[in-house]
Amino acid sequence: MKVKSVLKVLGIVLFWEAVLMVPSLLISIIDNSYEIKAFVITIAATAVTGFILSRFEIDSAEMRKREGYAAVALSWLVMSIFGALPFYLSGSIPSYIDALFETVSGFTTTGSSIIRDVEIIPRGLLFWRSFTHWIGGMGVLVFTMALFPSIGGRPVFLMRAESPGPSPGKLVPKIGESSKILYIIYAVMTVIVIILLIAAGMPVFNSFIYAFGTAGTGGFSMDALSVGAYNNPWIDWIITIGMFLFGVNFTLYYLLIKKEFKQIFKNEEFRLYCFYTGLGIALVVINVMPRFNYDFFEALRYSAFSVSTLVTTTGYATTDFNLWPMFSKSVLLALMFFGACAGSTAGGVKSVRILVLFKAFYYEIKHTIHPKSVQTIKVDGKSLDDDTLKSIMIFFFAYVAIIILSVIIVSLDNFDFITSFSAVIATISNIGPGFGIVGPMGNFADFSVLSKITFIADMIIGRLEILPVIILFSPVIWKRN
Amino acid sequence: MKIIIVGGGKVGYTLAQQLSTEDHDITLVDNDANVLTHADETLDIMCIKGNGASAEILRSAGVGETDIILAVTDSDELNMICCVIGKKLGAKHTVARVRNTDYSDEFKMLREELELDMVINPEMEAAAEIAQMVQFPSAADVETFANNQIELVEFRVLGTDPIINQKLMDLNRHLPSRVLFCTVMRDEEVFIPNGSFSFLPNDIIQVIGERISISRFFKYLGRSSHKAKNVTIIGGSRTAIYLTWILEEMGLNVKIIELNKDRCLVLNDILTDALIIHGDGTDQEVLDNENIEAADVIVALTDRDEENLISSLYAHQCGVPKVILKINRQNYFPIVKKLGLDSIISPKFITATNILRYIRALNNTKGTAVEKLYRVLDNKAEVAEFTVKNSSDLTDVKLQDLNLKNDVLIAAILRNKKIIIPNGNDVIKEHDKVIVVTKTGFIADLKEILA
Repeated sequence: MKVKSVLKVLGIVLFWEAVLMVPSLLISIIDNSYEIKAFVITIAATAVTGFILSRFEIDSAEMRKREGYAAVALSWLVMSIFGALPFYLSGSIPSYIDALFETVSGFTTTGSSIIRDVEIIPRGLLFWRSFTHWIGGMGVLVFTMALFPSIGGRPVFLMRAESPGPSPGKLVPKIGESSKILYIIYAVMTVIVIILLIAAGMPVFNSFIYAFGTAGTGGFSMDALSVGAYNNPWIDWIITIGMFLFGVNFTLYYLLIKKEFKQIFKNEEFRLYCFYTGLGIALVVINVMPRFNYDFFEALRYSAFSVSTLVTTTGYATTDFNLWPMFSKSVLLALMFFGACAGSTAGGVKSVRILVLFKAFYYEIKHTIHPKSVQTIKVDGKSLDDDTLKSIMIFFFAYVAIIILSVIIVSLDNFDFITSFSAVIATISNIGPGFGIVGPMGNFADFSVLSKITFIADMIIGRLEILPVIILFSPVIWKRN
Repeated sequence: MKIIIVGGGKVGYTLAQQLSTEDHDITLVDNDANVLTHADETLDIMCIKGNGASAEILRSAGVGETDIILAVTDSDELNMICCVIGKKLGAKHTVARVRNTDYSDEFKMLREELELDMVINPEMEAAAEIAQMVQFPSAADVETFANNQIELVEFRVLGTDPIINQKLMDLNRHLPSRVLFCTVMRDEEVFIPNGSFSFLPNDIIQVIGERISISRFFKYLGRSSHKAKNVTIIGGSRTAIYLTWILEEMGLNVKIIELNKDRCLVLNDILTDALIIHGDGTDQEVLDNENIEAADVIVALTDRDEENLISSLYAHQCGVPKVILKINRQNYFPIVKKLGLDSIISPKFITATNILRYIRALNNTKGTAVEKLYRVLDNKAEVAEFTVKNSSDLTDVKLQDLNLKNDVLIAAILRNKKIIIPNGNDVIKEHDKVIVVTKTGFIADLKEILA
C-alpha cells in the first residue's frame, strides 16, 4: 500500500470540501446567525489539512486498485469527520457522534436524521446538511476528477470505487471528460427541479433544500412533516418525478443527448426499474385507496410519491406511510431493498443486480433440466463475463450478511423487529426513514451510541458498495509489502 | 483527435499509452478481455471488447466521428478489413499494419484499392532502420530531419577521442565543421550541455548537423568512416529478408546464419545472392568458423532477445566494429546498453513511433505544431521538428534574447533549403523549419519552449 498516494487523494478531497462549505458560510453571514464561527473554524481546518496532504509528491503509477479503493473509503470517512464539525462546534447538535451520523447520512444521501426538531436549526447549517446530499449523490471524487483529471495516474479505480453499480463505465474515453459530462447533466437537472419548485410556489431557499435532496436522492428536509408540510399536489408531483428521474442511470441521459433513443428503451435495467416502480404504485394504490377513503388521484399521488421516494432511496414523505396496511408496507420494504438503477445517485442493491440475479436463477433452473446445455447470462444482448457475475453474487451475499449482523447489533437496543430491521435497511440502502420508530415522521435519535456507529458504518458501506470500505479496514493491505 | 486502435498488443498498447498522454480520445478494441482490463486499469482510454472488423463494434466505438483508425492486430487480413469497413463507416484516416512478405510488393495497390492512408510493415521499417545504421558504422543511431538534410547522430565517447576533457566552448573552436552537441547521457542522466560542459569517456552524445559536417566531424574523431562491406545476419527472420534486400541493393555482401534447416531452404529460395549458413548463431564454434572477426557488421535478428544478446556480446568481444541487435522487450534496453551494445532495434517500438509520427503530422494543421518527433536516450529527451507557419513572439528575435525554458535547445534552423546551426545572433523567421531538443517532456507547439 502506497500510503502517500492515498493521503494525497484525501488531501485534494478535503481541500474541495472546504471550498464547497463556503456557500453555507455565506448564508450564515447573511442571516448573521450563531454558526458563523463554527463554519470559519471548520473551513480553515479542512482547507489547511487538505492543502498539507495534497502536497505529497507521488509517482502516478503508484495508484493501483487497492490504493484507489482505500483512498475513496478513507476520503468518505474523513470528509464526514470534518463535515460534522459545523454541527458540533455551533452546538446545534451537542453530541459529536450525532453530528457525525447526520453528516454521514448527508454525504451518503441517506437522509436519516437524529434531529428531533429540524425547524429550529439555522439556515446555514440546513443548507450545508442538504448540500452534502448533492455532493455525495454524484460523488466527491467524480467531482474532483471533473476539475482535476490528473488526480493520480490511474483515476479509473477512484471512479469505480465511488460510482454505484457492478461495472461503472465511462461515457467518453477521457475520465475527466466523463466526469464533467455527468456533473453537467446532474447540475442542469437540479436547476430544472429548483425552477419548477419555485414555480409551484415553494419559497426559494426551501426549493434549494428540496432540490438537493431530490437530486442526490437524499431526503433531508427542513420541515417536520417533510414534503407533506406544503400539501401542494404540484410540488408532490415535481418531486415524485424528479426522484424517479434521478434514479435512472445517467448514461441513459448521455444517450438521450446523443439521440440514441433506441438504446434507451432497449436498456433492460431501465425497463425493470420502470416495471417494478409501476407495479409497486399499482399495488399500493389498490391496497390503500379503500382504507383511507382517498379518491383515485389522491391515492395515486400519495402512493406514487411513497413508492418513488423509497425505490430511489430518497426518503421524503408526504404522508405517514407507517400507518398504511401491512401489505403496502411489505411492498415498500421490498422496493427499498431493490433500489434504483446503477450509475444514478440512488442506493440499494440496484436494479441491474436484481436483474442479473433473477436471470442467474432462471438459468440455473434451466440448466438443471437440460444439464448439458451451454448458455451465458445476457444483459442488453451482451454476455456477462463470469467475473462480473461472481462479483454480483458476492456483493449480494455480503449485503445480506451485513444486514443480518447489523440487525443483531441494533437489536441490543430492544426496539421492535420492524423498527430494527427497517432501520438497518434504511441506512445500508441509503434511504432514510424506515418503519416503526424510524418511520417518516420519526427519527434515529433514540438509538444508543453503538447502534448509531453501526448505522454510520452501514451508510458508508452501502454508498460505496461494500468493497472499498472492507479493503480500507483489511490489515493486510496496510503492511509494507 | 478521436482515434480508434484495433488490437491491444504491444504496438496497440504503446500507441494508446502515448496518444492518450498527448490529449487524444482513444478507444481500444480487442477480443481479449485480459488485454482490455490491463489497458483500462492503466490508461485513460475507453475499451470495447469485440471483433474490430465488425461494423457493429466499430459503430459502438463511434467510428462515424473518428479521425483515425489504427489497425494493429496480429492478422494482416483483419487489419485490412477493419480499415476498409472503418472508412466506409466514416473514419477519416486509416492505418493498417501489414507484415506478411507476400504483400510487401503490393503496398501501393493496397493503399489505392483499399483506400488505406498508411500501410506499415514493422519488419520492413526495422530493416530500413538497420540499413541506416549499417551505413553509418561509427554511430549508434541516426535520425534524419528536414528531408534528410540534417542528421542527428548518437555515439559513445571513447577514451581515445580528442573531444574529451575540454570545455565545450574551447572544443567548438577546434572542430573542423559546425556541429551542435544536443544531449549527453551520463550514468542514466541526460544533460543539455552548455559551454562549460566537458565530455568524459562512455558518455553517449547526440550531435546534430549537416550530413557533410557530421562526416567531417567523425573523421576528426578518427572513427573509421570506411563503408561496411560484409554484413553477417544471425537469424533468418522476416526482418532479415527485408534487410538483405536493402543491403544487396546497396552492394554489400550478406551472410545469414539460421538454425532451422527448412527455414534455410526458404531463405535460399527468396534470397538468391546471399550466403545462407545452417547453424546455431549462439554457438561460438559456428561464429568462429564463419570468421566473424572479418565481418564489418553483425546483426542479431532471431526471435529471442536472449540469443541475440549472447551472439552480439560474443561479436562485440571479437572486435566486430558494428553490432546491431533486435530486442523486443523494452525493459531490456538499459541493461543491454550498459554492456556496451548501443545499436538496438525493436520493430514494435519502431512501428509505434512511425505511426505516432504520422498522427502528429495529421494533427499539424494549425500554427507551429510539431511535425516530427523522436524520443532519444531512453525516452529521456525529445527532438522535435516544427514549421513556423506564422509570425509570433518567437520570430525575428535574436535567440540570445529569447527567454527560453531551461533544458530547451534550438538545434537547427532550415531556411530556403539552407541549414543554419544557430548561435545566439541567429533569428527564427516565418516559414522556417526549426529543430528543438528538450528534456522537459512533450511539446505540442513551438510556443511552449518560451518560459
